[in-house]
Amino acid sequence: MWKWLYKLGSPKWFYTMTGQYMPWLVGLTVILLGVGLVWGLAFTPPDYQMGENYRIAYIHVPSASIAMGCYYMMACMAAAFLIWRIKMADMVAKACAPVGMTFTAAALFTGSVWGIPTWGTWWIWDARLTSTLIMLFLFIGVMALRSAYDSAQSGAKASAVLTLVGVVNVPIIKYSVEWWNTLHQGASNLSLSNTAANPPEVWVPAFFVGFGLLGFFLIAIILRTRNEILIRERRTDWVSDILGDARGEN
Amino acid sequence: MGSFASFADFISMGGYAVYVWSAYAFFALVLLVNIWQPLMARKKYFRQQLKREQVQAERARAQQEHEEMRNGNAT
Amino acid sequence: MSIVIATLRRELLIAFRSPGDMINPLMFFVIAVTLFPLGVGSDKAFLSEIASGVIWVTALLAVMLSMDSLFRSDYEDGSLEQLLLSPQPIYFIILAKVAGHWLISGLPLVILAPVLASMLALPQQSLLPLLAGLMLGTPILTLLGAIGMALTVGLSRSGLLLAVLILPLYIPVLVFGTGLVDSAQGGMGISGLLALLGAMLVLAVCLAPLAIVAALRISVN
Repeated sequence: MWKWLYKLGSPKWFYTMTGQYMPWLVGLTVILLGVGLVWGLAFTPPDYQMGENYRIAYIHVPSASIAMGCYYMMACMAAAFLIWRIKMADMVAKACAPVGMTFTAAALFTGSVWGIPTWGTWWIWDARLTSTLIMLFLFIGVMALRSAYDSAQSGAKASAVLTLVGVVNVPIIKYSVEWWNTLHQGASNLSLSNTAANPPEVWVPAFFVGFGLLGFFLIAIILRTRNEILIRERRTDWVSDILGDARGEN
Repeated sequence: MGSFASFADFISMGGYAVYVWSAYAFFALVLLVNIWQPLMARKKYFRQQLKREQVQAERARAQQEHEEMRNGNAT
Repeated sequence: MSIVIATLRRELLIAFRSPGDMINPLMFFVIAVTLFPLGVGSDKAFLSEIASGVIWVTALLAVMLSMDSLFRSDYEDGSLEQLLLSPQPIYFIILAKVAGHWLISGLPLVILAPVLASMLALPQQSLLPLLAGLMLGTPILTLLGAIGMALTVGLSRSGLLLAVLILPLYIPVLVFGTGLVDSAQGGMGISGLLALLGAMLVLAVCLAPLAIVAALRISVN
């Protein structure tokens, strides 16, 4: 167990392992996403209340949960970096911020577009929409702080501290926004992600898309982390070897 | 196909075409950006590193030539 | 304990010697609140409806803008580095510094708030909940702002970055602070919300100094 963790902390090991397993991951992701999206878009019966419009749920719900999970993953990586000084953890945390931001943006956009016919407006101060918007701000803050520092080392540590401060606040923010929403609007019955009442042929494709998107998320993180490894380890022999191979190809 | 009578029905999404397809288009864009950006960054990195190596090699060669010339003058 | 008192006294002394740092956030608070009736009209019913929100949002911004004087001059003259290297318990020194800063920036806001509240025609029964909320909320704002300030004090231009980092974290305080006033106006009990704000304050007092110290160590290097 510890040996495995130790290995995971080694950039070279991470680079070679992810290189080996990448084709499998890509294949699995393409299959899951492909099946889930085609199934969800074309083969599930329309919702009796929202008609065909509910098909947005197949991308909205997984985007939102991946974005949320991404923030928690970034926080774990930040903690690992600050406590154990694992440089790999910082590289993954750095990769998480832009990916999480785009997924949050996707969740917001799909949610708003869904809202136009359902609520009659693209934006309402719904608790979920609002707290997702705040999460977008948190991602942007972490990225802005990192890029404001000239020294990569200080920027990494500062954004890790901010990420941890943010993760303590995320549940409080969520709770406060939900409370605020009930105070001002009364509970809205138009819950966006209530799949419990739906038959299996509606939510099974959602699982396909969800796991496919998880795979995609891992691919996106891994690609960025690999780039970061190459940049930070460019003076090492093994990266020179990779460069040598690339020279041969050109 | 599936729950739709025809392909045209599928495209029109029961009148919700604008919403459904714009949401899916944005989603596709997000996926695309998340793959395309790191791949481009990787390409750029390799180009830069190879260029740097080239410059270094050329500089070393120039230095060597310079020293050879100086040695030649000395003798 | 003596180090805490010494730090507190030093903070207050510095503040009274350069009163600009102390007065400017207050002036911002007053002027920004004055802008609202000019912008939305002087209709009393409407003003009283938005009064608590206006006062809370401007207080929040005033606290954020006052943060700059907390670490900036100490960072520039090197005394912050001395502080971090000193063998004294840094957690309590930082807590004392933040407490001192709240006394000169947060507390005056709370004291001034009733005047502005009556200018905005806030109903009488809402005044006490507003003040209680500000009393518990502004220290939280100061502590959170100190984290952001500690993270950005080493950067040359940090004003707007601080806003991006800190304002999202201020949201719960704003929600519960204004919620307190709304609940009171609606005739609901406010003790639950007060307890909630109090719990947040305790949490912030316990955890924020840790984050501030970690952030200052990064900035000083």
